[in-house]
This record gives sequence, C-alpha cells and structure tokens, in this order.
Amino acid sequence: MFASAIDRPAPTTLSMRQVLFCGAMIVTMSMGIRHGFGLWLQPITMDRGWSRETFAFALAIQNLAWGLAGPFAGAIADRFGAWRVLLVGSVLYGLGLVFMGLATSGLAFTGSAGLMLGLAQSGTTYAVVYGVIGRNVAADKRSWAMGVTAAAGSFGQFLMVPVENWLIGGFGWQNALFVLGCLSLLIIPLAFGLKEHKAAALTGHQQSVGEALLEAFRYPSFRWLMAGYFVCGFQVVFIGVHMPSYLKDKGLSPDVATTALALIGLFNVFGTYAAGSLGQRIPKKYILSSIYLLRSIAIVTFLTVPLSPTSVYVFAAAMGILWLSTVPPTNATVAQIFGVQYLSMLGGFVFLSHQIGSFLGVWLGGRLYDATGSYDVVWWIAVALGIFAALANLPVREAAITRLAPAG
Amino acid sequence: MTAAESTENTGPDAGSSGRRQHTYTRCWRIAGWLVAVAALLLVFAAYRRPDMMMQMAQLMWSCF
Repeated sequence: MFASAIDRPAPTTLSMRQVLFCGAMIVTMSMGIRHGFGLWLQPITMDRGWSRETFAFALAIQNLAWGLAGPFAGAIADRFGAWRVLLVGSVLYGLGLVFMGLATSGLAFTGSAGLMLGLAQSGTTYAVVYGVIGRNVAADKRSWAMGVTAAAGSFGQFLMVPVENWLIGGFGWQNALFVLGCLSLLIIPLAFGLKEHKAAALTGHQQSVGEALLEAFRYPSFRWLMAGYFVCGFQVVFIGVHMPSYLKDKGLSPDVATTALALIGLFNVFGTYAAGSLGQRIPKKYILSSIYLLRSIAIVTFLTVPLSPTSVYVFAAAMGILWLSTVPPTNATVAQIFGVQYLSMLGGFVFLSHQIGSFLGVWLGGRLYDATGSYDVVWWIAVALGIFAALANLPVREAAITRLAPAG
Repeated sequence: MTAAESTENTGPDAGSSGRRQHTYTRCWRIAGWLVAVAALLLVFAAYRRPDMMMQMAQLMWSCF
C-alpha cells in the first residue's frame, strides 16, 4: 500500500477544476472585452475626427485576423503548449488596447484595434483553451466542460457591455481602454494554470501537422462541420450587427434594440451550457442540426408575426438560447473524431470558416440593404442557410476516425 | 479517479457517510446554481438601469 502511494507517478493531466476555472476565466475576459467595442465608435470617431468607415474597417480587420491566425495559434498551442500562446495573446491584448487608445491615425488604429487585437483574440479564445480541455478532461465529460467554458465566454460578453459602458462614462473612452488593457493582463497568471505536462500533450502515435490537416480535410464530416459553422457565423453576426438598424427602420425605439441585445446575452449563457451538457447524452450532430433548424424557424416566425416590442423580446430570447450553443458540440465533435493532439489547430480551421461567414453576414447585410432598400433578402438567406446547415450536420460521423498503424 | 474517490468505506456507517457526502455535494451544486442565476439577474438589472440604458442606446444607436 505504501509502495503504491510512493511509487505513484506524478499526474500527467491537470485537474478538471483547475482547467475549468482558468479556461473559463480566460475566455470570460477575452470574449467579454471585445464584445463592447461598438460602444467606442461614437467617442473615438468624434474625438479623432475619423469617419465611421475607419472604425468599422479596423474591426473588420480584427475579425479577419482572428479567423486567419486561429489555425496558426492553434497549431503553436498544440505543439509548444497553450499557455505560451495565452501569454503572448494576453500581452498583445493589453498592448493592442493601449495602442488603440493612443492611435491618432487610421493606419495606427487599424494596426492596433484591428491587427493586434485580432491576433490577441486568436491566442486567447475558444480554440486554444479547448485544446487544453480536450487533453485534460475525460471524454465522458468533455462536451459538458466545453459547455461550461463557452457559457463563461457568453457570460463575459453579457457582463462586459454594461461594465465598458460604465468605464467610458466614468473615466473617458481613452482611460477605459487603458483599464481594459490592464484587465487583459490577468490572463497571464491564469495561463500558468493551463500549463500542461508534456506527457499529457504527447501520448500515443504522433501525427505530423500535415498529416493531421490532410486527414481532416479529406474527411467529409470535418467539411460538413465547417459548413455548419460558416452558417453560424453568418446568422449570428448578421443579427447582432444589423438587427438594431432593422428595428429602427420598423419604427421601434432604441431601448427595444438594447433590451433585445441584453436578452440575447442572458439566454446565450443558458443555451451554451445546455448544449454542452446535452452533448454528453445525445449525438452532437442532432444537437447541431436542431439548433440550425430552430434558428430558421425562429427567424421565419419573427418575420411573419406582427412586429412589436414583445415579438422582438421573444425572438431575442429564442435566438439567445441558440446563439453560441453551436460552439461546444462542434468542438467536442472535432475532438471525438480526430482526437485531441491537434484539437486547437483543427478548432482554429473550423473557426476560420465561422469568421468567413461572419464577414459575409455583415457585408452582405449592408450590401443587399443598399441594393434593395430592406433586409428582407438577407433574412431569407439566413433562413435558407439554417436549413442547409441543419441538413449538413446529419451525415456527420461522430465515431473516432480509424487510422492505419505507421509502417516500420 | 483520485485516491480519495477510489477508497471504499466498508465500515458500519458507510451508508450514512455516503448519504452525507451526497447531500453535501448536492448543496454545493444548488448553491452554485443560485449564485450563477443571481449573478446573471444582477447583470441584467444593470442593463435595465435608466441612465445606463440611455447611454448605451445612444452609443449603440450611433453605429447605425
């Protein structure tokens, strides 16, 4: 008995509580801080004398940089440790926010608010943290753990909008950015809580990055998951960005739009947690398929019933439940099929498709509004895409992929 | 599974100890949920403060 206690090897994985606490806190901050950036549009453009296009361009670059850098940040995290990527991401986040406050030219603003913060987000959000969860949480609790972390990210988004609003009102927009810059550095100590033992990260047959990529992109289920996530990005960002404008066109007061966004934030927390928990009990492809189908049904109902504050609030609550609830089942499915060695990198690629969808959702929303004078066409595109995604997730095979043993 | 979890208590009060542990865990779980829901409602209340709503609506509206 004593011998077994003394000889017991050091644990090769981190404790689940540690991973969940650190991962959830990191994602709460990284997702939360970025969510309220829209609040800076008015004070920055007025103070600096810039057009709204300058501000919007920087945020568009931020989203593209986040998506494009995601696979690279994920690959580095898988290879050299997520904590290193989190450290760099945290420093970039802090510097990006400070430089965003100091930038006096459009180029400097794009470099800081756009490029630096986009890179920072790629290193501090879901894909990187999920890699650690995948490697350290048992498979039978993985989807739930991803749901907890996603719910924390959703809570961060919900929490930080009023906090940032209060900071801008109380300290001025520039000091508010400096305060957030300091806050983002709290990711540094938390990153050490996600420092993995080498044995946890590297066990069993080691694939190369190229092999893992070829395997994933040749596997139809991965492509279906990417297609579904594209639709997720399109719908969520189109609604988030253009709904206030849509409600304004229909004659509703600004308060209705603000309350609707608050309701989306509130119900989003429950939705992401529920989707992660359900992923432990029923096949995740059915959860994803149902989410996309229910989104289409919610949009069709919203468009067909008479518009009123009540209908807006009901729609916001329904969409809130379905908002980021695709995140845990999508990433848990990737882990289940391909294993956890390159989970952050593969998660980064899936997220890239989400960001392309997001970009198109914002851009097409504005473009088709200008061309047709209403959002009707884009709403129906969102409905059709939802039905497509619901069908696209059905053929996904969740079983672990079979690999041939390496020769020799 | 940790060593503590894998240790079986086969003594005479094994049942009551297990029940106590179960009740303890359930209490923590319920407390956790209550704190989470209270935190969410507090944040939602912040969104509903008139001055906050006015400022946020004004700032958000400026985007469109």
